[in-house]
Amino acid sequence: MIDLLSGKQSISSTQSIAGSWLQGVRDSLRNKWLVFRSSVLGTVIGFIPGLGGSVVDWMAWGFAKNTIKDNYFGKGDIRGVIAVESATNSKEGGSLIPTLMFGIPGGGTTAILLGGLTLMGLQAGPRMVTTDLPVTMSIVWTLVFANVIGAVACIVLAKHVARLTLIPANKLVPFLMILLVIGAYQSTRHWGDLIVFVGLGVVAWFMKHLDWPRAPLLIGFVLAVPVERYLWISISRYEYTWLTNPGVIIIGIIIIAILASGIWIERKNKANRGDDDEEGEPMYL
Amino acid sequence: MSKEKLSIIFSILVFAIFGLAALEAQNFRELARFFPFYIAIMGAIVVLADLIVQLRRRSKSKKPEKALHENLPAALKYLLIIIGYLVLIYIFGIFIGTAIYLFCFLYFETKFGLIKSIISVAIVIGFIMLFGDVMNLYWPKNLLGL
Repeated sequence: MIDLLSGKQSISSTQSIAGSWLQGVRDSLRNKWLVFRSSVLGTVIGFIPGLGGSVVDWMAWGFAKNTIKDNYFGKGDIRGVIAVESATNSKEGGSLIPTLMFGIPGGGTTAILLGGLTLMGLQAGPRMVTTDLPVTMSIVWTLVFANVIGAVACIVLAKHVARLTLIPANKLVPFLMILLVIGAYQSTRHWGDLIVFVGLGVVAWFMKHLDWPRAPLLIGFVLAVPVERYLWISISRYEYTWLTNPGVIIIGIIIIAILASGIWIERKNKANRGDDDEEGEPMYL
Repeated sequence: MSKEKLSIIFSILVFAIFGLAALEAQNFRELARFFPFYIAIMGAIVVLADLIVQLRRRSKSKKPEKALHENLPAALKYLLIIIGYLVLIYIFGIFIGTAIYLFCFLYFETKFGLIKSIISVAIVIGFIMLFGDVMNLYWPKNLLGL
């Protein structure tokens, strides 16, 4: 926002809205595998309690950036939008699994759903897929229809919403700032929220201009507490033998494969460009 | 100051933060120490590697150094406005603070006319009050207790 204001520009660098909703559908169909794997990623992240909503978009973006050849993410590459939106839309489905099966809500929405189930006299657990299966199926189908209705609403409203990006920053940002401050305060209703809001904003602004990737900071900020908690539980319960657990080894291999593929793709892209300059954008996230 | 120099200073600061975190974590109990200590050590090593790469790149590079921002005074001015908005909320509360901030911004910065600025402020304050009432929102406490 500071850059928009100081540059006296609007969110969109062009002054007209091009393309059509049909173009968006075509782009999604053309990138069907990206939609598929981002949706799988979103479902898996949604499955992990307390993780989904905050980081799924950044993780999907980082994963896509590290695995797509010749991308220009952050500079108008539609594949960045497709990856993030696929993951975001699929995470709700994933978060239903721990909510309905174990009574552990994956996020704010599913916590409300769990409250609703309790009010109806239903208890989350294995019964949700045996005796209460019709209720589970109705929840699943409600989610499906909600997504379809949401997609139709977005198609109808997209052009109007996109016009917001043409409003000059000095007319948009003052109003936006008020909403952001109110939103930031509601998380724990403490003054510290507002100080962190501005403090992290300043740090992120410097990081942006010094070419430091901001996504890892955000993901680390959100994940630090659950990672520390589960690491503490693992070590106190299993000491170091948890490292030999097949699940841990598989996750480790997947992480190394993603990092290695990112480095490999970046090197290949550099070689294709004939670019031997060491300077450039950070390759991770 | 150039972007390259600031980047090195920023890296040194991050390295110092990781270093201090590692030192602080040594005072924790064994299990509580594990995560912050090792993460801080790993972070410090990565930042140190980045710092070395930056210094090497800087010594080799013959390109002229870039500025951090094309319009740094303007960027700092807007940053101060945001901080000023929080100070206003701290002193006068969300409603009066928002009204003062929004009116000043629209009138002096956006160059809205007086009537247009007042109407905009009235609509926004009305919206916040309604929104807060419907959504049962909480507002930050302020110095004057308003």
